[in-house]
Formats: sequence, structure tokens, C-alpha cells
Amino acid sequence: MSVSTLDTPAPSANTRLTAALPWVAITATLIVLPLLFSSNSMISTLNYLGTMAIFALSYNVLLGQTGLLSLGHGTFFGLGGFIATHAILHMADAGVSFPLPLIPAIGGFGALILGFFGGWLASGRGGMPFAMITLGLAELVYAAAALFPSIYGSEEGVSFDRMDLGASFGMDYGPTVDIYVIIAVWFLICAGVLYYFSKTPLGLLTNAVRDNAERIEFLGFSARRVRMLAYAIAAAVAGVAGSLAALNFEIMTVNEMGATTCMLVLLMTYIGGTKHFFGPVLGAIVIGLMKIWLSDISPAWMMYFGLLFIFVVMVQPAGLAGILMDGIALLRSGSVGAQAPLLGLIGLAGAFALTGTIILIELAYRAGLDATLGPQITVLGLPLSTASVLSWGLGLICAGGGVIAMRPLFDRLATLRHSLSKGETA
Amino acid sequence: MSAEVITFSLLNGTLYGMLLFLLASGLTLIFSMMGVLNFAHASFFMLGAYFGYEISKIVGFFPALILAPVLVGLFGALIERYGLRRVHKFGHLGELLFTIGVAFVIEEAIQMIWGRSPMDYQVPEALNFTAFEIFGTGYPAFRLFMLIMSVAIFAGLALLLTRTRVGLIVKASLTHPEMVSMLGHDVPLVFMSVFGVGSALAGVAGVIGGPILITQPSMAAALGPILFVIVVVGGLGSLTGAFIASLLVGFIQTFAVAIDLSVADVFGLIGITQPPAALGALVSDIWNVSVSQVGPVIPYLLLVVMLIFRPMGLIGKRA
Repeated sequence: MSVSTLDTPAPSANTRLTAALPWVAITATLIVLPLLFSSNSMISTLNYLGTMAIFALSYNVLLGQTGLLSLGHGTFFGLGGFIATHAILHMADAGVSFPLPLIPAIGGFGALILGFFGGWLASGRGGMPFAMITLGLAELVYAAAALFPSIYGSEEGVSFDRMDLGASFGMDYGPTVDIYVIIAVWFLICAGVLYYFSKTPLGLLTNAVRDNAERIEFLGFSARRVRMLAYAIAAAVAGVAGSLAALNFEIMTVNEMGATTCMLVLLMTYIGGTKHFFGPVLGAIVIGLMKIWLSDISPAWMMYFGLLFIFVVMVQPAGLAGILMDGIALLRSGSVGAQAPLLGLIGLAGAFALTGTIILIELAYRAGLDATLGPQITVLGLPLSTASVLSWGLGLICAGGGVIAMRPLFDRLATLRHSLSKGETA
Repeated sequence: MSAEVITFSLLNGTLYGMLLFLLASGLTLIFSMMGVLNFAHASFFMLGAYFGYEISKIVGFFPALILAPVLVGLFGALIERYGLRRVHKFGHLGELLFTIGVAFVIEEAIQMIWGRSPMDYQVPEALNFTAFEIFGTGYPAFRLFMLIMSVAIFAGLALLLTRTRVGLIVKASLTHPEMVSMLGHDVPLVFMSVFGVGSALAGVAGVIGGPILITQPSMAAALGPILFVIVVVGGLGSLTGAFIASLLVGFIQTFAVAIDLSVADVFGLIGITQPPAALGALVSDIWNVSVSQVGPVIPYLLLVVMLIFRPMGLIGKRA
């Protein structure tokens, strides 16, 4: 049985052009970004977002493509980073000259090998057992790391100097922007490889395993092997991301492969949207920026993450990318004008609910965790106090009112859309 | 190892194992019911501990022992009714992700309300005495109380499930929900109740475990993975398996702490006192590792070994 017997029409020049368009746009964006945001801290932020985007893309090979929920993907991020770190340290010690930009290849290859082993253990079954085995493996590696201080360092981790390997490709890797170049190129490589992978026969098989593993077995494929390969590939790319993170921060700690990292990548990927190839990138950017900026403004940023995650899980499983795609489809449908008043009202109700929720959460944090800072707090420009019933009431009314108004508005929207579609066919 | 250490480790191992079983039993019941592992289960345990602490400040420990689990149980039932049941249409993945989100939010909410530092949740005065003495060392009454509570709940649960009509309906709903529904029982209500009772059991474990294990926001994250190890090692969906695995993990962890033996000691017996330098830094790492340090790793090692040799768990039907 071979897949190539399927007759697919050769893609015309036009469709090839449309297919290439996003990649051209991404490359252009990657070139323009450091020119627009040239301060050191901004480049540093971009570097972080880039590594997280690669990491989230790798995770989506499992979650979106193969339908496997891994709770231990951070392990490979961390292991890849440690492999890269030790590769640099050893080569610098031995005086070997090795171009720094190729270090992530070492980290990725190491993670690939480990990924095969982990995949062999974990891939026997999908679904719930898979999730738990990956969780167990991650906890095992994390707990065992404490026993090997010479590999993982103790509390303070293992640090190195990325300039020790010397200059190559015309860069000495001192400035952050040099690392940006490395990360941008690796992002293009990883995204390209993973996109290509999703179109290969194996990539299509992973989708089939997600949709109906039993049927795949009947067709003579081994679902286990497909899962294992997907796991190893995801691990390899996560290893690359981990190596890049190590290059960026010049330090690797055991916490990088702990439960927090495993959870973060799940949040990023799922919130971004698992059903579109670039959804995870969107998620990585949004969550990454939230993590950097929101943590400065609000003590409740982790709470917002959690609530956003629950919101996406309950209401919009296609994630932010799904919302974006719905919006584009709406614009193209040509019936925006008729729906605009209702959509505006829904938006207003949503804004009210969001404002109310933010007020309540900020007040609660000030009343609980940060009580020592005093009862006065300014939320979204409003002067509030944890001691006043009015402040709490305002939050409750906004949040409750917004949520209660939502249901009838959505019902009306559904009716309107129904009548619109009827009008089209008539 | 002396007889004293063995006796105390046996006692503490049974105690810890039974406490774990209080949690694992609810988790297993919920799993066999919905096919979903409730990630928030350890968070319900943590809620139990915090509620227990807060309520026992007002009305004392023993009323809190009833009130806190009831509150946690109600909270769990609400989560099932208005959360889990709605995401059911997105399949098991959606449900699992939902419970992960709930666990995340509960941990944050607890930090929001009670702060990040541990609570001063003390053993109640009425139970703060020495129950009995063996080998000249006293055994605290509170630990004995925990043991009795856990065993009593275990026995009660076993009787309820195997000897009563309610247990019959619950067990039938797990395997044949349509048929039970056809016979006129409200299956969604059964599911909600089982979820609530499972959460309440976790709450009980929290109230009685809080003073011994430290009541702090990270207690759920520390215990959660161990619970999953127990449920998998015991065999998914098997109560008996969960019971055996709970005790096993309880013993492993308490005995590992008690054994103060390192690799260096073993080699010291045959006269080698220094790690051979030729073998590098890795060996000298392992050289000083003692059994008590390996303790936290063993449950996960057990999980991996189990999955390689017996993927269906100790007493599991499904591979």
C-alpha cells in the first residue's frame, strides 16, 4: 500500500504563490522587527518570544496534529538546553572551534534521541494514559535531576559564556541582536520543517491517528510507531527551542524542565489554537507578552492566564487563531453590515464582563495577598477601595450584567444568521 | 535497621498510604465514571486543608472535619455541573484540559486569599497527646486518629459500594449508563454526586492531612503527580489496585526516608572509600546519593517500570 498512488492535481503556479505568501511575510516581519524595536530589552523580549514560538510549534505536533496531550514536553526543552550548555562548556574547555549558531542542532539531536526513548515508553496508548505517562516521565527526570548536580547544577543552575566558542558568520555573539539572528533563522527552519512534516505521508498519518487510531491499525500501520515518531520529532524541536533559550540567557536551571514549563507550553499552544499551523505562534506571542508585561502591572497575571485558558477550553476550543479565522470569514461573508449592531452589543457586553472580572480580581488580590499595600487601588483608571461596598458592587454588576446579557444576544445573533442564510438561498 | 525504625516506618507508611488512598479512591471513582482523570483532585485536597484551617479557627476542629469536606464536595459538584458537563461535548481532551485549568485557578485563588506562605494549621488540642509508647518513643494521638479515620472511611466506602442499593446504582452507572437511565434513574445526578463525594473525600484528606503535611499553596502540585502514579500503577479504574498502590507508595516513601544508606556506604563495606576518579563527575554524584534522597524518585521509577512490564497496572482490565 502506498500513499503516492493517490492522484493529486499538480499545484498551479498561482496556488504555489499563495502558499509561499505567509512565509515571505514571516521572513519580512522577522527582518523588520529588530529594526523597529532596537532597544536591548525589546530584542531580549523578541528572543524570548521566538524561542517560545518554536517551543509551542513543536508542542502542536503532539497536541494538534497527533491529538496527544503531553504533560511532560518541558522535559525536552530543558534537556535540550542542558545538552547545548554542556556542549558549549566542553568544546570551550577543549578549545574546539564550533560555530555557536549550530549548537541548537546538537541540543535538538540529543533531544531527538531521548525523545525516541521517551516515545517508546509513552506511545503505547493515546489519550489519558499517554498524558499520565508523559507526566510521570517528566516528574521522574525532574526528581532525578536533583541527584546529579554535576550535570544539572544545584539550585543556581549551569551557566556559561556564549562568546567562549569564538566568532563565526561575522558575529561574536556578545550583543543580544546576534542571538536574535540565530533565533530568527532557527524559527524559520523549525517552522518550515514542521510545516513540511505536516504535509508528508507520515504527517498525514499522525492526523489519522488523532482521528481514528483503531482504523489506522486495521489499515496495517502501527499507531504506536506513528505516535513515537511524532513524539521524537516534537522532542527534537523542543530541544532546539531549549538550546536557543540557553543561548539567550547563558544559563540553564532545573526549573526550566519542571512542571511550570510543561504547563506553560500547553497554555500557549491551546490558547493560540491547535487547529491552525501558526496558532501556537500566536499563543506564544500573546502569552509571552502577557507574561512579560502583565506581570509588571498586576499581581494577578497567573490568575488571568488560568481564566483565559478555562475560557478558551469552554467557549472557543479553536483558540485565538479560531477567533481570528471566524472574524475573517465574517468579513468575507459580506453580511457584516446586517450583523454589526448585534456584534457591537455583544462586544459591549463582553467588555463589561471583562472589566467587571478585572475589577473583582484586582480587588480580591489587594484584599488578600497584597493587603499590606493598603485598601486604595486604581484599576483601569478607576479609583477603588477594598473597604468600599461600592467598588465590589461595581465589579459584580459589570461582570454579572455582561455575562447575563450575553446569552440572549447570542440567541438573537443565531436567529439573525439563520434568516440571513435563508435569504441567500431564497 | 532496628525493630524500632521498622515499626515506626510501618505505622507511618500505613498512615500515609491510607491518606493517599482517601484521595486516590475518589480519583479512581471519577475516572471510571467519566473516563477523565480529574487534575483538580489534589486541588480539592488543598481546598479541604485551607477550609479546615479557616473553619476550625471559628468553630473548632471537629465541626470543621464535617463542614469543610461538605463545602469542598459542594464545590466539586458545582464544577461538575456547570463546567465539566459543558465541555463534555469537546471530548476527553477538553475535559482534561478543563480540570487542568481549574487546578491552576484554584492554586492562584488560594494564593490570592491566604497568601504564599504556609498556614499555621496545628494539630487540635484535644488530640495533641501521646497515644502510646513503643521502644520508649511516643506515637502522637493525632496520627492514630488519622489512621482510624482513613480506615473507617475506606470501610464505609467499601460497604456502600458493595452492600447497598446506592452502590449498586453507582456501579451500574459506571458500566451501563444508558441501561440505568432507562430504568428510571437520573444518571447525570449520579455522576454529579459521585464527583461531589469524591471531592469531599479529598476534602477530608485535606482537613486531617493539613496539620501533618504543611498547608501551603504548593501542596496540591506536590501531591498531584503522586496520585496519578498510584492510579496508573494500581490499574486505571480499579479501586482495589488503587488501595494496594497507595499502601505501596506510602511504604516506599516512608521506608526510603528511614534508610540512611548511600552508595559510598555499600562500597565502603568492600573497602573502597573514594569514587574512582577515572569514572568522572557523574559517578561521584551518585557516590554520595543516599536512599533517602532517592525517595522522591522511586514512585516515578515504579510508574515507568510498571508501564514497560505491565501496562495495565497491578489490577487493571484495560491495557
